[in-house]
Amino acid sequence: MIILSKKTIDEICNLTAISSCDSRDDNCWCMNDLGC
Amino acid sequence: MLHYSKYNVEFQDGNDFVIINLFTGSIIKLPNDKFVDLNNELALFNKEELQQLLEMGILFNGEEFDFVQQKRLENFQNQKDEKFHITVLTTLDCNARCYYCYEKGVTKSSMTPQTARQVVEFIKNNYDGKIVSFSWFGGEPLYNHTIIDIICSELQKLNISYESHMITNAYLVYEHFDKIINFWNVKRLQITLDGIGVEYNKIKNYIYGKSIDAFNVIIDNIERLLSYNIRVVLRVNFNPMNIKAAQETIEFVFQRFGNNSNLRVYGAWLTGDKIPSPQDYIGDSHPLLEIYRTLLNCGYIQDIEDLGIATKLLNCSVYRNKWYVVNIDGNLYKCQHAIVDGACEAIGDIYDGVINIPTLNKWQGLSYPMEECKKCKCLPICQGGCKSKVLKADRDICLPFKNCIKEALQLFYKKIYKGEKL
Repeated sequence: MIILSKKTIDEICNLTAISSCDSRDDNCWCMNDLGC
Repeated sequence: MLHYSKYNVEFQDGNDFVIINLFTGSIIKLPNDKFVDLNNELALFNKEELQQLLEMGILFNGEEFDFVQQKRLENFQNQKDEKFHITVLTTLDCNARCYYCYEKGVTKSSMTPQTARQVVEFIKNNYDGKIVSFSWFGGEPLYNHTIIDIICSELQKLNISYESHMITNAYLVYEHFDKIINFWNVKRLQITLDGIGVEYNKIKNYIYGKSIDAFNVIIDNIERLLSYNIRVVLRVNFNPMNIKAAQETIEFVFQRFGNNSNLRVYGAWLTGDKIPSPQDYIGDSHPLLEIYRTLLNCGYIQDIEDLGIATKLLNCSVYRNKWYVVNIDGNLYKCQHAIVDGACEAIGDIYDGVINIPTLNKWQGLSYPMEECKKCKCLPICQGGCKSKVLKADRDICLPFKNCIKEALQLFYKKIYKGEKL
């Protein structure tokens, strides 16, 4: 078994509201969805 | 019971299988026989490997949907240390006239200086003593820049720290450049490119007349921002019927700016009555794959998160308790898209605060919109989709790449892990 990229369930679950959706987060697809 | 996760996506690579878990974003490669065993007896895995597979979510013990739902609830209930954020619509007027604007038909009024001062009062009375985060939005936020001046100036007098980002067409960036950096403390700008040259000018249809090459103005402004290490996020809008134009735009950006570390480029599917939905396509023929191919070849997709594959238990800012949107008239909302529906979607105003609790609860409801969400592979990333679209029963609630996620991941794997030219 080769692990190419490892992130754990615990890491994801411990994301806070801030880190999971920040206004400065480029990957927040909600903000990205603003068609302006 | 230990089982193969339903959030795994897998595909073959020669004699191996590549497995990507959509909850964690973990990626592994297994020989064929081990892949078969992973779905059966687990006899070919040692204890350490099984532990890692569990940690990465590729194997799961229990009911995954219940787990995701529970974690989402916990994340919502345990909000702490979050930043006080306020999106300010300085004006609903704009110097561009894009045919696709979702604010089309809205009266083009602007915020008054008096309302701007009341915004500061609202902040003073509600913020947590730490930094205030702004999004300047509109219309075109720079079209009524005085409001930004007033709010920042008043906050400075009160010794309240702030930082901001802006969603702008960037036409007016040059004349406000010094303020953007030194006064408004803008850390990031989201700018839309709808095409190159004449095509861009045609779509934007700026008020300044056809003799002005707006495209060159925008490109020069982007260059200036990047040279000052300001983060620029370029949104390349595309119509799926004309993918080539978007690909050429991305290639143009690459030739002009390369892989500047402060630059991010992504494609955004336009919506409209005459534009097909992402759900109209499936698999290899999906137009999004061509956009991904170009972004990958230009180096604008480096990480699986750049594909939009990142679990966000709270997928939208509406769930954040200290997140406000203030319209030009001082009404408060949870989402920018709600303002087009008028005061009935307001959760309160800057004078009385949040008083419309039923509307607040409606926007912050955590339930998933469709029965099929419970079975969907994309649930960890999507979490039920854009709340505004859900409440409006929009046809495009699902993620645009839902029908081509395996093919998108295959492209990503080929480029990033095998170094192939796509």
